[in-house]
Amino acid sequence: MTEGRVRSDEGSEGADASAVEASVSRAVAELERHEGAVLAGIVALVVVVLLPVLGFGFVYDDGWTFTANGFLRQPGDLPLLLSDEAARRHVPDAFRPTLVLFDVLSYQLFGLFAPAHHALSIALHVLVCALAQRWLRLLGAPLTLRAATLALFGLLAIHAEAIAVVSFHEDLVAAALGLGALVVASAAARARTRRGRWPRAAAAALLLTLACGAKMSAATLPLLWWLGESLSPWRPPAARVAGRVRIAVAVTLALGVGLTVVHTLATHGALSPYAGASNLRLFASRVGLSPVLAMSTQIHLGYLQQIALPFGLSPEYVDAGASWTAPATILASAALLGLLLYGLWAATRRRRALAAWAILGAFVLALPTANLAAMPNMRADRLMYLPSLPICVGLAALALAIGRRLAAAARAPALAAAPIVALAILQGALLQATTRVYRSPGALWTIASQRAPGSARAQAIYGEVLLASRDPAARDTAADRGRVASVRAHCRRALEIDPRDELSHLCAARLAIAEERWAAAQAHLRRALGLSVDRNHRILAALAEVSLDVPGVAEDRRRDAALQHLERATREYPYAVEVWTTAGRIYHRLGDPAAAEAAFARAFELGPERPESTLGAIEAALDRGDPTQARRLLVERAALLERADPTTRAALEQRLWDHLRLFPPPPSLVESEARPRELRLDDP
Amino acid sequence: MIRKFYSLLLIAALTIAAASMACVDTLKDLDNADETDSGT
Repeated sequence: MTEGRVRSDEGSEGADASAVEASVSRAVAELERHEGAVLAGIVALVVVVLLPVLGFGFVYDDGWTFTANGFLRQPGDLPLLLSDEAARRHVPDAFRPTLVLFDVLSYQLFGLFAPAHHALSIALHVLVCALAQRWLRLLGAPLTLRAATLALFGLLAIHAEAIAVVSFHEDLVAAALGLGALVVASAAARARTRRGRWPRAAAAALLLTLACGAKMSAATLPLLWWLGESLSPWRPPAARVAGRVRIAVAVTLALGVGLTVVHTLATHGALSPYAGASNLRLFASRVGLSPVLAMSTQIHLGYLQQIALPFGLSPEYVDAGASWTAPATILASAALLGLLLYGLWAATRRRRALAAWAILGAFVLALPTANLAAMPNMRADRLMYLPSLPICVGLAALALAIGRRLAAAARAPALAAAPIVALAILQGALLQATTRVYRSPGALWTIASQRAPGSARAQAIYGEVLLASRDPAARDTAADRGRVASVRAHCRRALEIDPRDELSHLCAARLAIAEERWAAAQAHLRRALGLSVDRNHRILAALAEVSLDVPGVAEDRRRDAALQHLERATREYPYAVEVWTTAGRIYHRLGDPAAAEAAFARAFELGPERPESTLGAIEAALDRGDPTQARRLLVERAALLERADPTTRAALEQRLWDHLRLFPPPPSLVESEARPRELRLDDP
Repeated sequence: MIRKFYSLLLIAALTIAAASMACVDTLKDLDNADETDSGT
C-alpha cells in the first residue's frame, strides 16, 4: 500500500516537472514568434537605464582628445594620419586613426554639445549589443540565450566608464566595427558560392582593420571568431562550417589585423605608442615586467569578480607590482590557470562547448590589455568592455540553466526567468549608479581620490580641479583660503606618493602660480617637463608664461626663456588650443600686437568654442588703437562671449566704450558696422 | 505572452531606477565641498 503511494507520488512529481517544462517551452515558443519585439524591448530597457548619461559633461581625457583638440577642427589635415606626421605633431590618439576620423566627424556634426556625444555613446553601445546578438544568431544560439546575453551585456555595470566618458568612444567604436567584422565573416563562411564568399571576407577584413585602427584591443577578435565557428556550441558538428573555409576566412581576418599593425609600425616605429623604458608613466618601466604581470593575475581575477558581482568598480586604480610568491598572486594564478585548463579540456573533448567558448574567448579578448605590453593604466574598467562579451554569454547560459532547474523544483514555470532577471536588475542598477561618477570632472576626481587615495594622479588632478573651481569673486574669503589649503594638501600628498609623476609637479606648480610664487612654479614645471614624455603642451605653455614673471632675472633673459618655451610648444603641439592662447597672451605682454593677434586668431580657429582667444584678441586690438576691430569681434562673437568671465568682458566693453567716446571713428564706418543688425542694449 | 514580457521589462526598469538611487555614491563633489575642505 505504502509502496504504491510512493510510486504514485513519484509519478505525480515527474508529471509536474514535465508540465513545468512544457509550460516553459510554450512560453519560449511564443516569444520566438515575436523575436523582433522581444529584442527591441530589451534594447529599449538598456537605453532607458542609460538615459541619465545624456545630462553628463566632458570628463577625464575629453579635454586632451576632444574639447581642446584643435585637430578635430581641421578636417583638411586628416591625411596626416596616414603618415608619421600626425605623431610628430602630437595629434591626440594619432595611433588610432579610425577613432580620430570618428571624432572629427562627430565634432563636425555636433560641435561640443555634450548630450549629443553621450547619445552617440549610447547608440554605439546599442549597436555593439545588436551586432553581438546577430553574430550569436549566425552561430545558431537560441533566442532565450541571445536575449539574456543582450540584457546582461547591455546592462553590465563594468561598462559604465566606457559608455559615460566621451573620449572612450575608442572602446565602443572598436567593438562595433570588430563585431561587425565577425558578423560579415560568419556570413562569408556560410556563403554557398565563391563570388558570395570572398567579397564578404574582404569586407570583414576591412572592418577589422578599421576596428584595430580605433583600438588595438580588437586585434584578437579573429581568434574569438575561430573559436566560435570551430567549437560551434549551438550546432551539431555536421552543421559546422567546413575546416578549409574556416581557415581561409580566419586568415583573411588576420590579414585585416596585420594591415593595422603594419600601419602602426610604419607611422610610430613600434607596435605600442607607449613603448620606451624612459616612459615613467608605464609602471613596468619602474619595476620591470615580472611584478607587473604578477599583479596582472590579481587584476584579472578582480575583473572576473566585478563582471559577475559588480562591486569595487572605480574610476581610478593604483598601479602596483606584486611578487609571484605572494598568496594573492598564487591564488589568482591558480584560479585563472584552472579556468584556462578547464576551457582547453572542454574544447579538446568537445564537451561543454559553450563553457569552453566563453572561457577561452574571454582569455583571448583580454590578451591585448593583460599588461603583457606595458600600458599607462595597468587596470581600468573600460578595458573589460570587449572581453566581457563571452563571459556574459556564459553567465546568461548559467542563469537560464539555473532558472529551468528552479522552475522544475518549485513547480513554478515563472521562476525559469528569475535568475537572469535578478542578475540583469542588479547589473542595471549598479550600471546606472556607477555612471553618475562620470557626470563632471569634480565628481569624478573627488570619487577617484577617495576610492584610490594612493594614486598620485588622482590626488594631483583633484587638486588642480579644486584650484580651477575657485570663485574669482570670493578671493581671500575664509572659504577660498580653505579651498587653497585643501589644494595644498592634495598636491603635497601627490608629491609624497610619487615624486616622479609629472602630474604631482604640475599640481604643485599650479598652486604656486595661484599664490604668485613664481620661482617655485618654474622649478616644479621644469621638473614636470623633465619627467613627462608626452602631452607636454600644458607644461610648456605654463612654463612660458611663468618665465616672464620670475623675479631676480634680467628682463631680456626672461623674455628669451618665454619665447623659447613658446617656440617649442607651438612647434611640437601645433593643434593644442591652450598653447596658442598662451602665445597670444605672451606676445601681447611683450608688446607685439601683430603676433598676438595672429596667435589668438589661430587659437580661435582651433577652439572656436573658447572665449579666451576672443577676449585676448579684443584686448590686443584695443591696445594697438583699433576699436573698429575690437567692436567687430564683440558684435560678431557676442554669443561666444556670453560664456566668458563677466568681469573681464565688462571691463573690455567699458574700455571700448571709452575709446569710442574719446576717439570716435568716422560716422560712415560706424553706420556700416551697425548695419547687419540693430544694436542691443548690452552692445558696447 | 509578449504583454507579460513587456510588463516584466517595465518592472525591471522601475526596480533598476529605484535600486540605483539607493546605491548612488553619497560622496560629496565640488558642488558641496565645504566639509571636504575642512576635512583636509
